[in-house]
Amino acid sequence: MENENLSYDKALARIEEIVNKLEAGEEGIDQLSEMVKEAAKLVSFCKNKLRMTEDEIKQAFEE
Amino acid sequence: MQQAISLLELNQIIRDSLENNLSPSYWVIAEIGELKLAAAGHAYLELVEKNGNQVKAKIRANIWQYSFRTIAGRFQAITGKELRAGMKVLALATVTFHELYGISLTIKDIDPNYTLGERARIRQEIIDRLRHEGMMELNKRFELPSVPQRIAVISSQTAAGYGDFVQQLQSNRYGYQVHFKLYPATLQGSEAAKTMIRALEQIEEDAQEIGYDMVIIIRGGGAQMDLDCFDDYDLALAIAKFPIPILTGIGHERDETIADLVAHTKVKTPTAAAEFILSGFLGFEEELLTFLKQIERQVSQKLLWEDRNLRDYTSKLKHISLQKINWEKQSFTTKENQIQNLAFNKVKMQCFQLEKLSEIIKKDFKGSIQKENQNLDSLEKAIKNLDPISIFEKGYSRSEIDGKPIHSTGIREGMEMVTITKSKKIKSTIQEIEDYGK
Repeated sequence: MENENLSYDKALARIEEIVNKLEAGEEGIDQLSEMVKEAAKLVSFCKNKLRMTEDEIKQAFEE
Repeated sequence: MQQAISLLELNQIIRDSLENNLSPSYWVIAEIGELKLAAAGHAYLELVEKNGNQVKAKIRANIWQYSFRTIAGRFQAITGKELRAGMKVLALATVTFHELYGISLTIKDIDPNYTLGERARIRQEIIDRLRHEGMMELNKRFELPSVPQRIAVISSQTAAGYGDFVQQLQSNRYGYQVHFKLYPATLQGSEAAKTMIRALEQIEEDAQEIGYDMVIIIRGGGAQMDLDCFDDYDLALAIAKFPIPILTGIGHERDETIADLVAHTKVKTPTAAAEFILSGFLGFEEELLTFLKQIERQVSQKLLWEDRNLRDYTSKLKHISLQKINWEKQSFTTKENQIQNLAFNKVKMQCFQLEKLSEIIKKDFKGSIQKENQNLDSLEKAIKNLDPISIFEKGYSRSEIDGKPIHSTGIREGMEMVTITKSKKIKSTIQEIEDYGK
């Protein structure tokens, strides 16, 4: 999960997958807990990535 | 019958009557028929009067030694000639009759002016006749060659004038070569005119071959001499009719002879004749030099002009080329500016568009980011909502059989079930199952 090469789109897809699984509620509590943690991490990764992208774009246009 | 007298007595009577009846002296016009000089200095003459060749009157005459010297001297001084046979004279004569020697004239004086006038009259007659016959200008009609190449000379080999002429020609300081041939003639005396005419005839004959372009008559020069032969009518006629121009260098200062008058050109001396010829050469050469100079001047002027022309053309060409180049440069600059302007405009336009695009992108991107954020937020919320912990927090619990949620497995009474709360795991056995709701 700490993979730096993870793309935004894959991360997002994984988040959606986790949400679906959570909504289905078919997993055991341990797995659920793991998935939630993963999703939270992924969300923060994505948010971070978005912020970074925004900064890069801003920088790019300012140059 | 008359009484007879002696011859002496008769002659005495004749003398007496002559002495009584005649004037002491008479001015008589007569021609000298004969003139003899005696050893003692007396002159014995025969005076005649002629009508053509016929003698009409004749008388003996003498000039005594004491008067002859005076008379002859004065005569020569004034007329330039010695008294001689054939001359017409005006003489002051006394008639003398001697019983032994008969009648004769003793000449006391001779008026040279009469002879002079007589000669002038005869000369004028010849001139008038020649003029009347159209001879005066006949030889002058020829054009005198400026550079005579072949000259026939009538002169005497031994004459000093001829020597002067030859010397002058041959030692000219310009080094001109003048070709001439001498035709000898007698230049004074009664035969002179005839020999000159013969020489002219010979020249005319030779001219067929040699092609003379000038004839020169040169007299001996030296002391003043008899010029009568040059006043001869026949000679004048021969000169006038001659087919080649004739130059005379007779060598006298006082007056012109008839030969001089009818000749093409007259110069005073033989030396002058040579100078005249040489001056023609010199003049010709000078003319040539003048022409040469003119040609040179013209050519150099022409060259100068052409040079100037060329230079004009060169500078014109240069000017035009420079102008053209400048014009092209300007045109280039204009085009360059145009291109630059166009490019700038294009770039500006592109920039502007890019700006716009980037604005749009920024906006879109912001939108996207926002959307993503919102998405992420909603996902986060959903996750939070789905987090079992947050459910447990609300007091709910979860039940599983064999690690699986009970709604996904078949449940029966007696099965062992685990119930999970916020902080407890509760194991229980299913007592009773009852359906509710629908």
